[in-house]
Amino acid sequence: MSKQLNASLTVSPFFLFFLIHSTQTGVGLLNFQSKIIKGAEQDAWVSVLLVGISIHLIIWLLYFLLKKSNNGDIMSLHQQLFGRWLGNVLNIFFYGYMLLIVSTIIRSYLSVLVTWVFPFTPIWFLSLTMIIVISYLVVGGFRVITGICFWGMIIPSLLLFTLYFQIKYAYWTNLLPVFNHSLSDYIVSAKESILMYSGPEFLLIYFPFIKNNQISQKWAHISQAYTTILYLFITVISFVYFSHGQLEHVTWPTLMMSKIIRFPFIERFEYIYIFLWLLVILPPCCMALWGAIRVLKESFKFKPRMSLWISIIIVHFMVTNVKSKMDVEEIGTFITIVSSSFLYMYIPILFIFFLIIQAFKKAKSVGID
Amino acid sequence: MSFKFIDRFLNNQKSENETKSIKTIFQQAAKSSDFHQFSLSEEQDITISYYKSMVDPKKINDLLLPSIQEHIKKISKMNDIKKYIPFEDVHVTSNPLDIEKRLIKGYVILQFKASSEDFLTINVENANLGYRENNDTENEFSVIGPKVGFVENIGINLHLLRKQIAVPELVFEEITIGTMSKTEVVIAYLDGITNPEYIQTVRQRLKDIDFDVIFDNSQIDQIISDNSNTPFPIFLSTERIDRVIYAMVSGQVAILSNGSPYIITGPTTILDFFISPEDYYLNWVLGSFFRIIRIISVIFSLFATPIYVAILTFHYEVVPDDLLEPLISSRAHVPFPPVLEAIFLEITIELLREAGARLPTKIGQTLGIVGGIVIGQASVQAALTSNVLLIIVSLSALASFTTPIFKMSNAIRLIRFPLILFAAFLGGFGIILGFVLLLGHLLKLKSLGNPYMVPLFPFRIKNFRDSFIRSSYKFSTTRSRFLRPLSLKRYTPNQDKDDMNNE
Amino acid sequence: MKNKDRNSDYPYKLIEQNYRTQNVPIPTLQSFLFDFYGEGRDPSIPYLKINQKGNIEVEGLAVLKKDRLGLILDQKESFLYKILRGRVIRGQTEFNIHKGQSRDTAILAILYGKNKKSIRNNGSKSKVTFNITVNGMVKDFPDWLDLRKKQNNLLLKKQLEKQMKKDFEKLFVKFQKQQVDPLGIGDLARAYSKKWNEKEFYEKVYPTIAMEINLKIELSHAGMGE
Repeated sequence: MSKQLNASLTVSPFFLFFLIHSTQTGVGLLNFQSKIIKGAEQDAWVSVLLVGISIHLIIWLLYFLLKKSNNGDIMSLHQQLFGRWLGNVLNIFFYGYMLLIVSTIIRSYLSVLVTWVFPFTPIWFLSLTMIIVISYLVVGGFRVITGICFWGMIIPSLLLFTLYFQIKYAYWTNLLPVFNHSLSDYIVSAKESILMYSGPEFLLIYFPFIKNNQISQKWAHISQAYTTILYLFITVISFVYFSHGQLEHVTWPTLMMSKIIRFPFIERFEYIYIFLWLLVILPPCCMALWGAIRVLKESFKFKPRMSLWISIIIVHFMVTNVKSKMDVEEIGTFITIVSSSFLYMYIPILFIFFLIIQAFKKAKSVGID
Repeated sequence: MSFKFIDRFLNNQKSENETKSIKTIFQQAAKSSDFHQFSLSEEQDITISYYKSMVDPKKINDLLLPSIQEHIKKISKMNDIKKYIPFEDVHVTSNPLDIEKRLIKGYVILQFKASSEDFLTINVENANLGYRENNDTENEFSVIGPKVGFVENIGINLHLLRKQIAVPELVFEEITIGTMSKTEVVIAYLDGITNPEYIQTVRQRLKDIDFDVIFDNSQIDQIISDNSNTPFPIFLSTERIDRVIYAMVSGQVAILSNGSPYIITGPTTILDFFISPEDYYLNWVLGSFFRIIRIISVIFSLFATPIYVAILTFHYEVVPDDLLEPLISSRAHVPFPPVLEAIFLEITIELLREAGARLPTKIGQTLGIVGGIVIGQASVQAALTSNVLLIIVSLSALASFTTPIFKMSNAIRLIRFPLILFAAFLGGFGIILGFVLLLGHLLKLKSLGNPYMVPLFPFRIKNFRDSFIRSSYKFSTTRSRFLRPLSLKRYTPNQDKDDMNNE
Repeated sequence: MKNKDRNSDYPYKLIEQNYRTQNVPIPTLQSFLFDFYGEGRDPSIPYLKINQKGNIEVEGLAVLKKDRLGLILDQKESFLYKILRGRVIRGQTEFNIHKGQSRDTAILAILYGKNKKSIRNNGSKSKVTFNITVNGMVKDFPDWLDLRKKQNNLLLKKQLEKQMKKDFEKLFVKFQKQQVDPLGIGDLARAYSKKWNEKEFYEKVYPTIAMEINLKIELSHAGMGE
């Protein structure tokens, strides 16, 4: 039962902070404000907060499952619970989920890029360059991905300082009145904010790569708390900066917010946002692609190089086949459903199933005695 | 004289194998005109042989020969000679291989009685012959601080090291590398401070080397590096004594090789290359300031030209009107796209640098003026480039030269070109893609198995006190933890605090 | 200089200059969209005009109602509006002074100030309160008014406060009559009531809403000529 790989491959538990936080932030941060405002309007920040807190519970469940699994990852857990054959089928679904994450992130980012910067460049070209870069990083292994997670958090965090400009123009009365919505409104907003919190599920794959992973849970929760606070902060800033009606008309509020920033040498600051956002989306992309390869390796003993080729071809195919903006919206809605049902339904089901099997085993062993 | 000697060996049938090989050694040696062999005295039958080019003739004429002749009557066996001659490095051996090796190194081989199997080897090597006596650190210059650098002679280099680190913990391990050059390579480290893992790694990698002639330490650097497919230097090579001492004191291993004035130290991290010893000689405020300037200049040097290309090719709307106007008017008559313009100028600067490096110093200076002023001015007037780009390119060239280590500054200059191409293809997106690839590459690199990016990644907040800034000596009392030294403490500073009331 | 000699960004710079020192309230696209899409507020934009000499100048402020022109404010109203709107409180205007028999005009330049709005929601008896404190200086005042004397200073302050208060109220009534809400009174009402309906508010409450102004003027550097 070795759940931890040898020391040269692992990273210290402190890096869980960056691993979890960086894989949570993504393209969703550019446009979540206009989505979550649909339900609870100016109170939607409550939903953001509540979802953030609920993820703590999910992380606890993930840790519970991982500690009990054979190899400390979902592949072995599936095989352990459902047998080799059925377990591998589930692993393939998980593989598909990983690739879906990569494709959605790349496609959504490219749609920002195409709209703002490169209206004439074909999607396949941009997609190819991005996939090549991601593959280069993935080939470097988990340590390099951790490094990307680290830098993918540190460098874009500098952008937080530019929020000062928005605070100068804030209308704090936008947040009033508080709590004048019904529960169903909050739920609508909460549903929309789940996607940007998704990311802790990668823990199901990279858990064996964490040094002393049994006691690393603290960092996962700290990271999640930081994410929650950050999202809450951005939500509040957006709500006070935009009027309610305006937020409904803006596609990428975060980018629109950055337009107010003025320096003597930069006129359109949103370009800096768009380009630096590559660093924000790289961690989840790399992690998901690396995870996909690892799923194939662990469950089917595929050679990593071959599964990398297979995976990036599938991803490229998926990215280029999402043509119009409506399709991007649709794939976004789809992944929201997949992601939220994975986190809020599949993980608890696994947990309950695990408990049942354990109880069954116990009863059996007692019976034998 | 020599014929007589050989004849004697030919007649000697006693021990066929050994004598034969010694005989062949001398035969082989006799082909060279600088090989000397003669009998000192007929009655005692002492034969002396040596390479004239390797020995110190003064020592032979003034010390060796007189002392033997003086006591020649009392000599009856080999050990008697040993007693009378004023040399330390004297050995009795019968191994022909040993004899051959020492002969070449500049030992005198002394044979007592033709029948004897034992030979006396006396070290009269003229080690300083052909080497500079001293070396100014002209390639890694610093205004403050010692100007003495390492020289080609390893003996002097070891002497210089030992002079600075006057503790017995300083260990030199010698290995001979090079099937033809037989270069002495020394691993130097501080016992009880340097992590034995690094020493073992270096030892192993050096032992695995199979190479013919080691011209310079840089070759060893390349052969033992963790990743040879990188423009970045994996080990730090320097001619400055203080740099090597500092590295060793911090817990690094130093590798010296005979014939090379450059000494390599490892494991290094990327920030080591932007540190100048001068930072430590100035007070910490100035030291930190210059260090930050140096790091900013690297960033500027890497990204200035690509950003220019990206903005003028794709994103001119990013620049405010007031700034865009001079940009556009300065390249109004330039017929090329920005990327060609930029590459043309960058290559011009590279040519100037390369030509300047190959030419003698005096002509090199003239070249700088010709290149800088004449070509620059003319190419702007001929509308080959714009004024603004000329400024950017020359500034970033200037900035890249602030890096104290030559190999690192070369790497930075090289990396600009792919970044310019990325910028030309995909604008700002290309630059950030290039940056990510660079980052990924740096994250992959290791030096002696130690990550290249520490303390930036893996993140070590405590080591930041001596990385971007050079904090006061009061705070840098410990060694960097990422080098995993056996003892962390360097010194205990005086606890005197600045007393506010003490006027 | 004729217009054709000027840069295309001349209007941009003109408006910016007027925003920084004169009577144009915040003119950014963001603030326009904020008001335009926001519920309970109407947008306003600077109103430019080509004068007889053929130069562009800022005439005042255009207040939009939905996407149509609702009202044009002149320079003085624009100045008052800028103060009522709050945030950047700056600008200058002419006003009358009198002492005994003497009558004249002087210029008030506002340097900075504070504006706090509050609302009491009570159907048709609703009331908005503006608590305004401004710091300014008086320029080009007549010779007979010696501002180095304290009572003159006080007199000036009182007259100013009275006049401005009246002007504010006039402007507010004008907004009510024209059914435009560039001050965002509707938004303020929304923020402080549990249930709020835009249409209902503008049909029933807005025309009858009362206004109270607590104005305090601090005159600094008074008496200094240029």
